[in-house]
Amino acid sequence: MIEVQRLGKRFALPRSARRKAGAEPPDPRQENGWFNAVREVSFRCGAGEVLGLLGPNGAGKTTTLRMLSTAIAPTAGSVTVDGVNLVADPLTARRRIGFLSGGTGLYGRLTVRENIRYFGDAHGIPRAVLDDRTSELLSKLGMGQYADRRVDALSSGMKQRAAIARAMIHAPAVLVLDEPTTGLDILGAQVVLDFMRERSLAGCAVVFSTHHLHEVEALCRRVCIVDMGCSVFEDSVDALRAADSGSLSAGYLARLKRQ
Amino acid sequence: MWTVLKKEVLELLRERRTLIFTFLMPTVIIPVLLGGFGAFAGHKAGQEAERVLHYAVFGAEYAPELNGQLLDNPRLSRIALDSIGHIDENLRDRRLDFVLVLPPGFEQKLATGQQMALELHYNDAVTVDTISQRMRGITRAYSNSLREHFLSSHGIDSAGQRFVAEPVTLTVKSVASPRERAGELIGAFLPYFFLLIGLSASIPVAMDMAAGEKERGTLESLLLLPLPRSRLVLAKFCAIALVGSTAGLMGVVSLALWGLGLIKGAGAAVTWFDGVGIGDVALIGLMILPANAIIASLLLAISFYGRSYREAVNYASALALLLLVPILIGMLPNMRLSSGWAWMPITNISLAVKESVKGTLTAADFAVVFISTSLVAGVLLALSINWCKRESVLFRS
Repeated sequence: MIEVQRLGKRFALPRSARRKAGAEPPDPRQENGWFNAVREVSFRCGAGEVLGLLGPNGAGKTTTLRMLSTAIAPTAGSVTVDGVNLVADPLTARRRIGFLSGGTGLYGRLTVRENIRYFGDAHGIPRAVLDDRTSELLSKLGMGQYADRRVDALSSGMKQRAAIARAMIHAPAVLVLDEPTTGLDILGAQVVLDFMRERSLAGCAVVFSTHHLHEVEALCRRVCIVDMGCSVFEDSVDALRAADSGSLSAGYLARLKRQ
Repeated sequence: MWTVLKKEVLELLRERRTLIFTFLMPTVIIPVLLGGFGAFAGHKAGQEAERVLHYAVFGAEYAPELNGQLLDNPRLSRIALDSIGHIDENLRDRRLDFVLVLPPGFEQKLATGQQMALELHYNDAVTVDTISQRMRGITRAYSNSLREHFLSSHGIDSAGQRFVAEPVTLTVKSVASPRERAGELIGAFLPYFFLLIGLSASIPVAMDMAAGEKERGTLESLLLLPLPRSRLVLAKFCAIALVGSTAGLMGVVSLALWGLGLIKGAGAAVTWFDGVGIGDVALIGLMILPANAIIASLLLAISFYGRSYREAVNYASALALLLLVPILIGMLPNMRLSSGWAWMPITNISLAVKESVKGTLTAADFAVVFISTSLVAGVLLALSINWCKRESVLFRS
């Protein structure tokens, strides 16, 4: 389970942006040399649930997910991952989170098995457990025959499967994915979507950002819409659909227009 | 941390470029290039010294004796030149190497004890001025014979002639051993090579480790490991320092082995090298370690700062140029390792390596240099770790 409360993140504006600030239409996220990329985002995703994070480009989705992954630290708010305060104890939180983005995050000069072992070793998984888990993941993802090939030599679909194995080797309770199907072909995208469904059925809390509403319809029971750094809607997919003419895209657009 | 370091080393061993810079460059490529260059330079110098020079003479009729000596010289070939006004043109076009102009009554006036001047026309815009050297040799021998003849005709015996030629002579008794003298010359260049070898091996590795990882998107997955960021940075630092030190040490060992081979091949010509023992080579190797730690800290900070591999490489090239300054200070003539210079990072290594080759490095000097460089390396590493942990550096855009 992951619970996000009033999450915020601000960055110092570069000098060039500060100079331009007066010349351009005011952006409510800018104040006194700071840019509030995320102002107040809150949502909750329980075990076995898939939550879709929607919003236009620049809304603050990626910054939010990067905070959930612990890559960057929030400047406001709190995140609890499986009972662990992510801000106070990021190292423990990292053991409970698996993160995947459009990029695979794999080392090209290492083989698939070496990549998975490396991340497993870094998580402190005992070698015997690690070997069993690696074999299980590779077989589940249909990668057995590619296990000892260098990542550089794999197709993008195979790389994505290897990235999934990498993100799951420490058996995280929460899975965070940032536009995981972007740049993938239809087969690669399907592998990722199937994997997300399988993880949620296994009891994992899955949070993912996307621009593809069909992915939301196929996987999610609940969605959160982020706009201008704030969560503007958090409810079920059905509630979003019912809000305007019964179509998910119409409901989504209506929510954005209302802001 | 060891898991990350192990992975970094494994990746490095699979990178052909790293293997070339770390192992092949210091052990084979640089020694062969240097040896080849030395042999080529020696060959060219010998060729220049033996080359037949083409020359012309105006006023040869006024100096039959000197003219005879010039004509008898097998390394000189005379070419007739019709007018004195064509001298410059022929020298510029390299049809002639030099032209001698003798004034009227040259040897007649010399015979009466009058000092005379010869004019040597040539192009002296050359690296090694062999023409003037060779002509000075010829005129010196000619002058000596004239002086002997003149003084003999005035009844001065050979002892008196030596007195007239040089009343006071200076006999030099140097306390410097041949090793010390050669070390002063050669030792000044060695740190340049050892540090540069380490630097050239470290740059691509360091740039790939953070800026390259940023570009490939692997840095973020690394940052999500349950390890403190300081340990991640430390692991990367160790990998870079390992590569730089290995390359530098390879350079030291390879130079020692090549030097040994040179002694066996050239015999007495390089006997000074005999004095350089395993202890000296080990000291030089030890001093290279903290120097490479300094380089690794700086390169890592640059690599994390770079938005892309290319940007980071640009910064690293500037750093390489900056690092040359303290190395070159150590190469300045008559620079000595003093208590002040012993605290100047990189320059102190440069000077200490020179003293070590000369055989004049004391244990106290070594300790000061090693400790001061290690301290600087430690401070830079701490600053670098702190720098590389910052979000504004890690996710600079």
